[in-house]
Amino acid sequence: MRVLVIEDSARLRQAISAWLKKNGFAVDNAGDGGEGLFLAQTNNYDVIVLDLMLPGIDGLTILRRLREEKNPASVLILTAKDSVNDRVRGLESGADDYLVKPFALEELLARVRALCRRVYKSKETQIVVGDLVIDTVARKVTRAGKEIILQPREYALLEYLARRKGHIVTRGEIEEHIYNGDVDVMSNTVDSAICALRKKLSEANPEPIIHTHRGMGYELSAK
Amino acid sequence: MITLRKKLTLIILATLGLLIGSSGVAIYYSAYNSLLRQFDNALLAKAEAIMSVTEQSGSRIELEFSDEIMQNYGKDGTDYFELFSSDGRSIERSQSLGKYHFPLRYGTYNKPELWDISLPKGRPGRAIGLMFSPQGNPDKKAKQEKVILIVASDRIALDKTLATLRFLLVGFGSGLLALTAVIVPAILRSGLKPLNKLAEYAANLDAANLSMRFPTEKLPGELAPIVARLNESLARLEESFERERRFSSYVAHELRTPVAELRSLAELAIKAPEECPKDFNNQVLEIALQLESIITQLLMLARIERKDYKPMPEKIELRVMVNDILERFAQKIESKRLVFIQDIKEGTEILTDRTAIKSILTNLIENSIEYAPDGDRIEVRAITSDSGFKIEVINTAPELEKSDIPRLFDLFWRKDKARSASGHIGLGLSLARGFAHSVGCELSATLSDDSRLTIALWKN
Repeated sequence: MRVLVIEDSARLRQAISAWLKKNGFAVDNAGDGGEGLFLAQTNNYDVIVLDLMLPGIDGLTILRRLREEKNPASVLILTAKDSVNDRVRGLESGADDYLVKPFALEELLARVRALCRRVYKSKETQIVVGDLVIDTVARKVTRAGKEIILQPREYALLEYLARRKGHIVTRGEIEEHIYNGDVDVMSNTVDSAICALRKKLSEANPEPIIHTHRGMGYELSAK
Repeated sequence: MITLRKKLTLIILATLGLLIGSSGVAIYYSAYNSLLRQFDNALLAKAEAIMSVTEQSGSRIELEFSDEIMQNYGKDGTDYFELFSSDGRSIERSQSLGKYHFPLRYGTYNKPELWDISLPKGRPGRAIGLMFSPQGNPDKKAKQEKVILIVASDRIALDKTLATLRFLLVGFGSGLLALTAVIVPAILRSGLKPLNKLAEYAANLDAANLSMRFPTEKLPGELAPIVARLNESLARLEESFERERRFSSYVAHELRTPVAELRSLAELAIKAPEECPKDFNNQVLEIALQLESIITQLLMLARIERKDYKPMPEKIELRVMVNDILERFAQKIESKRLVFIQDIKEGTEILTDRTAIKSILTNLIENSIEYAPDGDRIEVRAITSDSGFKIEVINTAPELEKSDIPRLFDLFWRKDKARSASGHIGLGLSLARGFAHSVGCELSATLSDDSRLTIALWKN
């Protein structure tokens, strides 16, 4: 999942980014409204964490612009203003969620994940593909009843494929959503990651569940 | 509760009542007197008629009756007379008198006696009595006799007229009063309507809708100035609430952001120590110092607004103080290649509160360093006199416009609304000004045409 953090406090920006990255997200940063808007318009993000009090273009204006441009990203507003009026205004301007500073990093993480679930239109906390069960709340993966331990990025990749189960996910999409686009075109980072994932999954059940579509991408399905 | 309307109604009705009443009484009595005078004149005329037919013949008094004159003096007549000799003997009397005798009351012809009398058969009447000398007396030998004539008339008709008049006056008066009792309150109610409307409008006022204003069209002259003042007060109140709200909202932001930073840093250190920045400890310290600075400033501002600050004047060496301040910002000055020009005479001393001046000057200098473009020339000037001093800090402020100047001292006003990276909050100038006032100084700003901003601190 790919997240954009627009926050003018450098410390906070860095802390949030580090935390989200640690939890398997691909994170981009912006320190002011203009830069943030540019990034949001240029890339596809699943969630945008947006501070309302920004220098340059203010947060609410950015939010409204994103909505006008029908940007599909979910937006979580961060702000120090906690009055009911401010919250209502934020939500009515198009925000999907609202978090008041100071906040717990855990809560930020949970809310961002909840928004991601929404992006893929699945409100279920469990994704089942054949004998593969992914509990998105507990971040646990089991196949044929056996638990599979995954690294955060591996989990992120598996969840991403699972949320788009039955669909072909291109390498490019994986690069964007899991690797932040930070991948050298000539490298085979994605392929290796898929390989490693397949290996772990086959330990529980040798039946392939991630299928390669030559020239197109990968698909997770219990064919 | 006593209302204007009730009071006015009562007073007007009472006054009108009094007026109507007293007019009625006046009319009545004037009519009464007039009628009575008429009656008395008629009586006199009747007496004169009888006087004209009274003759003295020798020593005898004779009446030459004529039918005309005696018309009303008959048995059932309404007029009565009796003629007495000067010693009280009844000489002649009208038939109408019957057995009745008049009391002997009389005056002169010029000033006759008139009185109300009870006539035979109990009828109310009025009598005139006078003494006169009858005409005639051809026999000059006899003594001129004097006689007393008393004439009376039935006054029932007069009384009836008076009664009718009384009745009419009372009836009319009451009717008028009743009408006024209906009309006056109605007029008052309609006339005082603007007051009621105002009261109604005022009842709807509350803290939630301070943006409403009282309507000013078609206001009566008495209410117009009141409403104007009310609207002014509402505007000031709204402004003040707005400022409060802005203050609270900015304070919330300015205090919460460093705390949020601290919290996130700490949580990261606990949950993902490998992701922590290398200078974690320094960052924590910086945040703590920032918070300290904000809180100190806010508390100071609160004290100043509560007029709690007691200035302690002392002699301050200005150059030393300015140098101290510049020393503190030395690094920043160097990194921005700023040039500071001190136009302060050696040994210049000012007499004022040290903390206040230090805080204000620090603020002014810090501002100038922060907002001046790189390589700018910043001047610090001071002039002293016997009564006071003036200190100016001048730098170039390319982003400011003349219209920004009055707002420079607004709480939390910044040219760019959000917090800048240096953690600068907009308290500075408003705090500085508050501080200045609390020690008897004034702080002001001017922008020259070539974007040179001068902030002046002075005491007369």
